[in-house]
Amino acid sequence: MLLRALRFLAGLALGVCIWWAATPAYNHVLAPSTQLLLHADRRLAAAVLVPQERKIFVTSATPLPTATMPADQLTYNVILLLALFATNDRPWRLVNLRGLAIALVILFVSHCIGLIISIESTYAVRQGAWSEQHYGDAAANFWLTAELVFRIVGMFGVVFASWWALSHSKSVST
Amino acid sequence: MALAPRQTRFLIVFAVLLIAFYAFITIGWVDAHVVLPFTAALARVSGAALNLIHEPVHVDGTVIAGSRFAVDIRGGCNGLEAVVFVCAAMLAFHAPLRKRIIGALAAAVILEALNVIRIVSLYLLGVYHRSVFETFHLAVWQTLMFGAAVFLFLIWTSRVAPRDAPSST
Repeated sequence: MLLRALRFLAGLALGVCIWWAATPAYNHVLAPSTQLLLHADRRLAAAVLVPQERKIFVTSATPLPTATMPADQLTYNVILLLALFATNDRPWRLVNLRGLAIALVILFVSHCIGLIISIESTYAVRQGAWSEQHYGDAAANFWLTAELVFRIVGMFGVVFASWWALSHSKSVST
Repeated sequence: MALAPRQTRFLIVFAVLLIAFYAFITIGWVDAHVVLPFTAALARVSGAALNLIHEPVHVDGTVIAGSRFAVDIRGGCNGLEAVVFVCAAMLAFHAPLRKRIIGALAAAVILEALNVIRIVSLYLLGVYHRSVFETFHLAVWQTLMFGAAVFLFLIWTSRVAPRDAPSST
C-alpha cells in the first residue's frame, strides 16, 4: 500500500504539471466541442465560446450578455485520474494505458457537460434581468444545483467511477 | 470492458448515494444547524493548531484571520465533500453493514484530521507564498483529499473483502 501511495503522489505531481501546462491548449478543444452542444438550448444558440489562457469567454453578436468561465476549475479532476491510474500495478503496461485513454475520453465528455452546466447556471442566476427573463425559478434552481453537484462531488465521482470500472473490468484485469 | 454484476451494482449504488448524501448536506436546515457549526468548530481547531505553531490568528465563526491574511472556510473546504464521497463508496460496497458503518466513521475522522492540515497549510501558503495559494487550494489539496478518500476506501476493502480488493483483481 505504501508503494501505491508513493505512485499516487508521483501521479499527482505529474498530473498537476500536465494540467497546468496543457489547460490553455485543452481549452481550444473544449470550447468548440461544448459550443456545439450548448447551441441545443435556443436561449444560448448564439453564444460563441472563446478560449483564452485558462478561461473560456462566452460572447455573442446578439444582445446575449457576456460571461467568463473559469474552465480550469472544471478540468482539474484530470489530476486525480492520472494519480489513480498511476497506483495500478505496472502502470505503464498497455492495458493500463488503454484504460487511461478510455477514461480520458469519458473525462472529456464530462468536461463538456460540466462546462455546459456552468454556463447554464451562470446565465440562469448571475445575469440579472436577462436571467429573470429567460429562466424560471425551477430552471434556475436546477442549473445551480447541477453546478454545485458537479463541481463539489460529481467531477470526482466521474473520475473514481471511470478508474474503478476500467481498472476492474475483465479486459484490463486479465 | 465487462464489469461483474456486483461491480456494476456497486457503481450504481455509489452514484445514487453520492448524490443523495450531497443533497442531504445542502438542505437549508442541515446546512444551518449541522454543517455551519461543524465548519466553525473546524475553524477553531485549525486556528488553535496555527497558534500552536506560533502563527498568531483569531477565529470568528468560519473565518481564520491573522495580521497579513485571512481565510473563510466555506462549503467545499470543510472536508465534508470527501467524507460524503468515501461514505457513499463504503456503504455501496458489498460487506457486512457493521463494517461499512465503522469504516465510514473511521474514514470521516481521518479525512477531517487531514482537512485541518489542509486548512493550516493553505493559511501558511496564503501568508508566505500567496502566488501558489490558488493552485494548492484548488488543484493540489482537493485532489489530495479525494485521493485520500479513495485510498482509505482501498485499504478498507482489502480488509473487509480481500477478494474484491483492487490489488487482487
